[in-house]
Amino acid sequence: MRDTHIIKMLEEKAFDNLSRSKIASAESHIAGCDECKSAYSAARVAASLVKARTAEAIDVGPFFKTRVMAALRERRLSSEEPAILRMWRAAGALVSTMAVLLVILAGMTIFSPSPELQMQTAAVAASQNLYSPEYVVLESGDIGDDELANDQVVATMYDLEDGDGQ
Amino acid sequence: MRRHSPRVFSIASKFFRQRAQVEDAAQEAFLKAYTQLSSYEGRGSFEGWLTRITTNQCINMLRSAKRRPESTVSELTDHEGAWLENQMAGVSIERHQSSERARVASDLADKVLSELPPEDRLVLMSIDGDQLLVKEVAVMTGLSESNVKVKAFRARRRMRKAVEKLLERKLTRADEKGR
Repeated sequence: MRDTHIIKMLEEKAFDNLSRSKIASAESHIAGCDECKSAYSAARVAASLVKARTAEAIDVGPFFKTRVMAALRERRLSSEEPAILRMWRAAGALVSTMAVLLVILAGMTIFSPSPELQMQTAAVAASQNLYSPEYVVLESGDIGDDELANDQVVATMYDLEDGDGQ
Repeated sequence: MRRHSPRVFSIASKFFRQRAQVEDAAQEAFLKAYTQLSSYEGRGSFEGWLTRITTNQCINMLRSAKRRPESTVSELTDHEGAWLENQMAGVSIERHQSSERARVASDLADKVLSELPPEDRLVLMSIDGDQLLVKEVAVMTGLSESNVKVKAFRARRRMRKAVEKLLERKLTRADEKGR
């Protein structure tokens, strides 16, 4: 070991895991090798630092589980689709049907004729109808010149019968 | 969660020192584990799987934190300088185990360790600090055993060189004061 530098040995193993014999030979080597001496000191200090840092551990806090559960719940909610979309999925068909019906009704309301026009149309239709109530009640007695009245028809029939009998 | 929390906290504590950061990392690790539970194929241990998630989470958090400016090893406090002097004088760490001294040592350790890549740091702290076997660290990190050995070797070298520089600087400063 005296002729071999110890730097590689220091890097191969944890300083605390070096055997007593290796430490003894390393210490005898550094007595005559300045390069290895500073490396040996540094490795010893570095090992102390790593130990000190590893010993510093943080324990699990009492509310850690609650914190994680809350974060999980929050993340689950944020990843879900918005409430409006869920509502739409549930009632979308019904709402669409109602909307279509509403449009149809609105269209019918807009494009159907106004009440005044309806009345005028009814009046015109009534005036043109030969068999309207007015015509039947008021005009039915007015017989044209070329038509026979019922009395004339009956009288004619009886006259004929009388003539035949004679 | 109660069963695995100590392990997750122990890993996160290797990367972070403030309780808030450790809890953030642990919380994210549990949330990821919960959401990715279907990807756990049951081939390895659940603990190993969770450990890898925690490690990756911590590494990601460290990487994003690295983007912010931070103190460097060159900025030593008086307490840290005194701790180094004690170490060089051969005072063992057990002799100054007071909480104050331990905190100073931990502060300094954190500064030096922050110069290492996150995975190297975890490997070094697990093997040299927690005395875990290479095989255990390989399972924990998902790296191959040879890769763990390489990382440990590299981390020790970088750590040693960083400490050597500190010690040299400390000696130079002491010489300047002596004049």
